[in-house]
Amino acid sequence: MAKKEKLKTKKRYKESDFPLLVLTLVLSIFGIVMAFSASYYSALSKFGNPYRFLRDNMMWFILGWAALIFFSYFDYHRLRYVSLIALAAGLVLLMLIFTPMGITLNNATRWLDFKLFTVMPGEVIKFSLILFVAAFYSVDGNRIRTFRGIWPVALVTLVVILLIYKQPNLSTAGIIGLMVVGMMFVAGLSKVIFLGGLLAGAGMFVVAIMLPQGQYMMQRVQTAMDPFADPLGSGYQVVQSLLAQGSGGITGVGLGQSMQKTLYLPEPQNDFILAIIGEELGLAGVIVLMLLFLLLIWRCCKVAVRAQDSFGMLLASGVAILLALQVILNIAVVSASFFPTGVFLPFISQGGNATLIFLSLMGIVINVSRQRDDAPFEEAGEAEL
Amino acid sequence: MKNVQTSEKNRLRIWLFFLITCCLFAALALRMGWNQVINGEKYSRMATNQQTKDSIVAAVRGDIVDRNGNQLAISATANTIWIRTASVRGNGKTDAEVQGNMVSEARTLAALLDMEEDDVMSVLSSDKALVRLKKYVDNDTAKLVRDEQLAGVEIVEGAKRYYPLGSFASQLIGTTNDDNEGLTGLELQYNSYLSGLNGRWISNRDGARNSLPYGVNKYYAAEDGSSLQLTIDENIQYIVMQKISSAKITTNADRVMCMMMDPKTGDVLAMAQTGEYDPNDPRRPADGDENLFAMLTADEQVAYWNKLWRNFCICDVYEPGSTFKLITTSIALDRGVTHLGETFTCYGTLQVADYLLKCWYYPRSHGLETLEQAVENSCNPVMIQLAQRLGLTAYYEGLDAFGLTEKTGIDFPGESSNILQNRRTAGPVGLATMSYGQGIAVTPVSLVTAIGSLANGGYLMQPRLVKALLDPDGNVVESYDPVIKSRSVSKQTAEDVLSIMEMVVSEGGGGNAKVPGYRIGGKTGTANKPEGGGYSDTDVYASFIGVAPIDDPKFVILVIVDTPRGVLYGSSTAAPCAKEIMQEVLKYLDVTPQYTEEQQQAMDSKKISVPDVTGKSAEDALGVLGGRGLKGVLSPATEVLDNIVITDQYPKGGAETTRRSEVTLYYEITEGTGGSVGGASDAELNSALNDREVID
Repeated sequence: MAKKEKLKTKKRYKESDFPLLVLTLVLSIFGIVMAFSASYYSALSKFGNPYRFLRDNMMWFILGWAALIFFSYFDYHRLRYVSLIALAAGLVLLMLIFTPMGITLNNATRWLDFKLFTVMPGEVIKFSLILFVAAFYSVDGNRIRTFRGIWPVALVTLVVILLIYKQPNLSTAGIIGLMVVGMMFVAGLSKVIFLGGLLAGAGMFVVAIMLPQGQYMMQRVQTAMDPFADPLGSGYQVVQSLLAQGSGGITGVGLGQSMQKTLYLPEPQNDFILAIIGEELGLAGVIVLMLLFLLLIWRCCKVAVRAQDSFGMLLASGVAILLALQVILNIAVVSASFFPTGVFLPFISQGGNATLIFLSLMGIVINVSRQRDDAPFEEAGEAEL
Repeated sequence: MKNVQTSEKNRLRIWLFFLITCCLFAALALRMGWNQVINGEKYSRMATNQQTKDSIVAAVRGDIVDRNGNQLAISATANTIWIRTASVRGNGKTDAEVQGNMVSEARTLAALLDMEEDDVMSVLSSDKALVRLKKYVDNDTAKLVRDEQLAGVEIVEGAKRYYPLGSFASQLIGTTNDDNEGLTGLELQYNSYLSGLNGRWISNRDGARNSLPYGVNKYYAAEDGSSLQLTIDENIQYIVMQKISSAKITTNADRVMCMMMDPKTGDVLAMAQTGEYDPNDPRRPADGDENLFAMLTADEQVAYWNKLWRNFCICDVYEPGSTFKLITTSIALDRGVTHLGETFTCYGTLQVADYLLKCWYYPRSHGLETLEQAVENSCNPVMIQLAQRLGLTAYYEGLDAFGLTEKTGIDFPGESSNILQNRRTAGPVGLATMSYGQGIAVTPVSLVTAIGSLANGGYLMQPRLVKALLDPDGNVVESYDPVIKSRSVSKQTAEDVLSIMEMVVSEGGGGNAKVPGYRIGGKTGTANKPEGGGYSDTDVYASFIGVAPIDDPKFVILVIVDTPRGVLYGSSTAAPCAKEIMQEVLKYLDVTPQYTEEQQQAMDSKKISVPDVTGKSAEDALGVLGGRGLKGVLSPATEVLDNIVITDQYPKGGAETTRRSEVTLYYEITEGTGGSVGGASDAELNSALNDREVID
């Protein structure tokens, strides 16, 4: 019976949103190429093996695409049942950070050591929260307008933010906060509460950087004002990022030809990979990449708008919002428009948990797209799949 | 669970979100454009600056070799060891560990570098960021230090100037500074040839300063400096140095200088002075001066060094005294105002304008004497007469022809000008005193060059120190030919004066310079050193200028003894030193000795006939006796410089005695001025002489 229904469900699927699929593929392949180019020299210098990061990236790429394909066939409605489990798992992982399993690097404990692999609870919780918030508000269209419809989400989000802030990881905390508020906005949050929430978030941010633990954040804010004031100290990474961008000019120095990646810009394959792209492919490459991201976000929005139901709509828009936040914050940091904080560029920065999570999310969006609510594609879809 | 339918509001808000995203993307795109295009050039330049390493490829400084290719100055690779103190401080997790590592590092370095452990420790714990631990470390030691891989140790390769012979012709060769650039002497004069052209290596470096396999990589090779081949002969220089330092001891002089030149080419064969410094450590004060030096102020120390490094033979002037009579005689002979064998009469005095100028022999007089004898006797009135016959203009033209009125232009920095009587204001007295070498001062190199022209048939050669430039492999790049500057006198005059000089040595006061088997010509001189406004009574420059051999001159030699104590005369201080030098140099130059019958006999027989030296000046008497292998002793001994004439001697003239025995000389003091001893007793004369000119 279950098998038959599953088959039936599958039968109902329309074809995937083709641009979305292609954009995701193009971006993740482009990411592998660029992360390889950016990491080549430092991997060679540090580990004697230039392919070290490429190898890791390939593994995450394969895992991620397996997840994407899985979720694109996995009826997203069933995610409603796992959303609470996902949230609970995410919270447990976040709390494990404070056990000896936590790995401390550069004064921050953001990783969990599972011996065979490491997990970033901060990334996992993004996935959990999208599921949870979407599930929570798609139960009843009017829930968002009630107090009872707001405080559980607000409480969970605040707990998550607090746990992440303790790592400390202000950028992830901020992205999660904004993402949840964004999803609530799409769900129909009243404008007053939306703006109030944003103001509260800003206030919390100010308090956070004023606290003694936030002292290094304060320094980062000052660095953002003028990275050249301390080009060898706190401003080093941003200065090196700017020098890379300047070296690239409009057309770039050519793929693989970056100089700044040769131990000038630290970890060039990670959060600052856009600077290396700017150097190697120039402003032209950066603009093309930004357009690809914008198209991807647009397709996600499109999927959200066409979604069959509120749950699908909120899932897709949650992914769109998360994508937009990651990309905007990353570019803002790399271009010295925002204080330096660790925000990776989805699909492009050296992979890890994030690749798996983002490709899984894209898989969910594709599944939403396949159950979209637009007549013109119905027949064609059925014919194809 | 029922599916809640999406509302129009949801969809609108999604598009609102997308709109905001588009705006932010646009803003960020502009920001990227600002960074990459508007500020791009600035950032790109900064990036290039940090990525490019422009290092200097040091050119190797050329060697300095003597005329036979023996190395006098070479460039060796030397390493400098620096300590980066931050790395030393960071070498360990705890303070105690850091301290322990520092102590063991100090011990290792001290052992390798042959230093005191405490000294190394103080460098390691210095509060400066980068401190030099040791300079001039050879490659083997540097490798040992490198292999230890000690914290904060950096080794920088550089070149060091090395003078293998140490204190050898140091005032001539000179020194270099820490940057390997010429500081003094020939190192300075020929710096542009020696230094070569530094190359550059422009290459891309990664953040750890390693060179990159791609990017810019331009290498402009350094052009190594040329080597200098000097005219100096290491062996001759060495002989000269040995002899002048022993002469300094036997004469108790302040210092002794000597210069030798090949008259046919103008090549300086040797140029030496006592009190040489070690150019490998040029700032170390001379032996015995350490305590004095320590008390000097910084400015005084600089002055001390400048004096230490000064090359007397070119950069200083001295009073030539009677040696200058050769010049007067040459000009007179050349202008035809006298001839060999002309007879003069010396009355002991000569009235010149308002002054009664006295011969050194006064109140005696030389009476009748030929020109040759007048030079031999160093007779002042005859010289005055010759100068008067010539007149001021012709006399100065003669000096011009000898090149004495201008610098010789020798290839050496800081050549001094001769100090002569002012051509326009000299007047008769100035001319008269100048004729016998009084009241003037000349550079040794100018006098040697002038006398050298007599030994070169009248051709005045350009004196020079460098024969050729060589490439690093020793091949000649550029060879300098000898340059004839002008004609000083006719060939005949030159031969005549040489014959007079030969007579002075063989029969007159230059006897102490006699070298058996060789025809030597020369003239001694003793002149009071200037002191205050006038001249010192006790301090003299005793000198001898000689040519050997007369029949085919190989060299001109000038020996100057500065302030001898005891016996003052050039004949018994400078001449014996010159003799010893000539004896060895002639042997070294393979000039075959030809003994006259008389010399052969004298050498064979043990008995020597004592010559009669009564009536001669002390200077001449000592010289004549020395020429026969006898030693004159003045009784009573005197250190006061006065004009002395010998009145009696023991044994008497014609007596037989053994070689090297002493002849006691009794004397009386004359009143004359100048002479072989060029003292000026007349205060008024001194003031008349004060108006001298410095020839530029």
